[in-house]
Amino acid sequence: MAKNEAVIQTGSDAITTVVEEPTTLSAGPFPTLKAHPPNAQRWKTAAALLAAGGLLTACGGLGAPTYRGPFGEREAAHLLRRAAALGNSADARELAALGLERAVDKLLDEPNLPEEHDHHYFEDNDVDYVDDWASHWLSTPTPAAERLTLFWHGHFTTEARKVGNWMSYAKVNKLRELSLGTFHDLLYMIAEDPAMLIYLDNRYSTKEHPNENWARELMELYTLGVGNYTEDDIVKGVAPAFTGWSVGWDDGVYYFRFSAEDHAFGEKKVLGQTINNHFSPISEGYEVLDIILSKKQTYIFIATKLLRYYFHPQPSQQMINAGADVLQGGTVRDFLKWLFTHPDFYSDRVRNSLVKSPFEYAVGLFYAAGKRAVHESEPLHSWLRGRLDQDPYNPPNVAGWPIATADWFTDSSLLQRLKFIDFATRYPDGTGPTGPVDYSVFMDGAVNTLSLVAPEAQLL
Amino acid sequence: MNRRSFIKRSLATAAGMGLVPSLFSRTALAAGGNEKILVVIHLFGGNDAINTVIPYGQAEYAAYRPDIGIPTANVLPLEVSGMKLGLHPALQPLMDDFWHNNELAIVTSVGYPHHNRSHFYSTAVWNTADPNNTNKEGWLGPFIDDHDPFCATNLGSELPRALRGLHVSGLSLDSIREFDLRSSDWEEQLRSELLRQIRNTRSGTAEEVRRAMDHMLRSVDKAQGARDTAYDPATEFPNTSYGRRLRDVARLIKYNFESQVYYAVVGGYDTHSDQGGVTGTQATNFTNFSEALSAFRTEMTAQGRWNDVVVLVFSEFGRRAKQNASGGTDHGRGGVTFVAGGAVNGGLYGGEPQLAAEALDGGDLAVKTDFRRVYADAAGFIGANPAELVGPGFDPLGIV
Repeated sequence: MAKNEAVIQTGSDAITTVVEEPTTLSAGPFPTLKAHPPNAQRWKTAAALLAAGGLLTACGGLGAPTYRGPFGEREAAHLLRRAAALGNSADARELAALGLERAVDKLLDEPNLPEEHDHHYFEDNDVDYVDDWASHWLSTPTPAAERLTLFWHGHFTTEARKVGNWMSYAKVNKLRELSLGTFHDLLYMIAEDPAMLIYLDNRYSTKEHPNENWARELMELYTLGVGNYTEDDIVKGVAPAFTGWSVGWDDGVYYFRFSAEDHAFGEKKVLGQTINNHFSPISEGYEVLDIILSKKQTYIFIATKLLRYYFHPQPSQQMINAGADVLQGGTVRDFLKWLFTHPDFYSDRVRNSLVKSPFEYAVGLFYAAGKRAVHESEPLHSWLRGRLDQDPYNPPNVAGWPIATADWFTDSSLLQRLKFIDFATRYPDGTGPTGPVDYSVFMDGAVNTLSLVAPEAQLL
Repeated sequence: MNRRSFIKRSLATAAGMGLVPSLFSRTALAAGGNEKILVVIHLFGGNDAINTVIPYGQAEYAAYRPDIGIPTANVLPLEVSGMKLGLHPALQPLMDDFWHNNELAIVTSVGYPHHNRSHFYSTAVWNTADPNNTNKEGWLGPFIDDHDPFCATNLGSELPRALRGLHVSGLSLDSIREFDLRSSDWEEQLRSELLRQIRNTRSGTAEEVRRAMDHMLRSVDKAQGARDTAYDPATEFPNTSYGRRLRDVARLIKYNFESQVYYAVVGGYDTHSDQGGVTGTQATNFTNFSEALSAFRTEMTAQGRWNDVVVLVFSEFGRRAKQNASGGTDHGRGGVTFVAGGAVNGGLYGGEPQLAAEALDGGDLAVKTDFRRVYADAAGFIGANPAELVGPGFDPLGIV
């Protein structure tokens, strides 16, 4: 089906009505609209790859190099630490026994989704959102999805201090569900996400006063990166195309709401392409996303960031290009499978080259200490917020957290990481470890609890 | 090339050459400070400016605030010619020790353009000094990036955005007592194991972490002078959050901690209900705040540093002109900022806040003075370039 047909077809009701589809709590996590234009570009890419190269392999790359070396407990520990930021020797042995390919498939299995609570649950039970997330991370059969969700949450940033805790929680849940899917689906979701519409003020973007906040960050931080678009692309293209993308409020929950009367009709130019959709003004936003998603640079930008998070602080251009190809032609799962089976991933230069974020450090240490949930009398969230300097619901700014580097360390936060050892390895009265106390995956070279002061404990 | 870009370039070069980035090296980044000290206190929640600096001569004042208005007899008149303006009675120490010594600047109707009544948005604006982009590093960030994390210290458990730089952030210690790795036998064990561990150099990222740990241990040792030496200030600080914070600041200053900025956030100003008048919630806050500030002044004077210190006290917004139905006030716009110190040119900056209906902005005090002009004074005082911290076009008010 040609794209224009789809747009015209879905456009007729969109132009005459304000599209409102309240996010009721029972309706699942996606406050989406009916009008998703199919992404012709994606199919073309897939078809071209198929035509050119024959079968796409399961890992999405054509002739991608595969690690052929030993895959024992030592290698499995590295894989587990990188993928999930937690584990113990039993977990590593189990993965090693599966062999590399099946081990990676197991780690990248469909994310286990936590029970989704409404905002009353947290208010009425005094349950902290961060502790709730940490408990899920500690107990889920798919912990790799949690580290990946943290990546996307730090990429598509929102701050609870501006958008509220529950809105951030809902966003994190949606990111988890889509974490291993295509970048296309993640971007479409986040553009419609009410937390994002509030966070970057697009809710106030009208034809009289187009707001440039979302338009700018969409290009600068979420997709293309600085230098790959012009100021005019933002001011005359993306910002007006997204006018009218706003939020409504119903029963204590915000939802995506498009307001046609606030939309700036007329011709816009984005990255050299013209957008001018009289029939379906809401589709102009999706058209912007499609233009961005058609650019190789978007996948270069995202692949670079993923490699800095999963591979090495300074990935080679060759790795970046190969990763971008996998990401553009497939899913995030394909990308991670390509990386986790790549020979370079198991080199000594790569092992222990990344720094744990405080959340990863805390969850990893809890798990190593045999904890499978955050007990109500040990408020992990207050350590993260007040001392370890990563409030998972409040990234420091729109650019998110440092990516796995020593930028994490200030004197006081490093000091607090050491003080945290005592907190993490103690057990609340009447409780004890529910799993083995085993630091061998948490860090290389652990002998006993005192070993946790070594620099290696901070590394992935 | 200015100094900042030079430093950034040096860091990039060092990283590019495979050397350890020198973010943690004092020698690379420490620039000689000017020995001046800025203490920032954020009264979080939105302090009601109209009951702080009271325009008691305007008929609207009593009319707007039948329950929470301060009777004229209780107001402490500032005696500025031509104005009937005075302080809340609980601010008596501010009057006696600061205003009468010409050491208190009062900036009225202060705020930012296109004001937003959200605590968090407004806080982000005050923290970044950029109403157009509040999702970025703090206004003191470039100063910290130019110096080192030790040049700015937050007293509290959460580092405010104001002290976040692009590359490094200020130090945050909940209390001096806790900035220590020897507070128990367990920590002594950790410490000696750590000292043993970091003797062996490593490579790559592990070496970066090792160096960061080494720096941290040195910093903890550096703070030890302040921590372990008995501190006997010239006056007793009140045992309130203001008193404890300011005591820690005075203690660090005494031991030449080298911070040029100290920062503390104290809440309790979101008085939607039961705000009180001569007594009550706001009055208690003011008593605690002004008594602690007076103690700090006494101690700084005893240390011979009062002329080197400026204390900037702000709240993220003021509150409505009219009281609400629950004996409080709702979020508003124009607020009041205090600047105190031995080097301060005391006085009233910004004139008398106007309560007449036509002078209000949506029922709030209109904003007349951009807060960035106050910041510009503060930035200049600590030797920073005001335009670099608050953007161009914000002339200092001449407070210091």
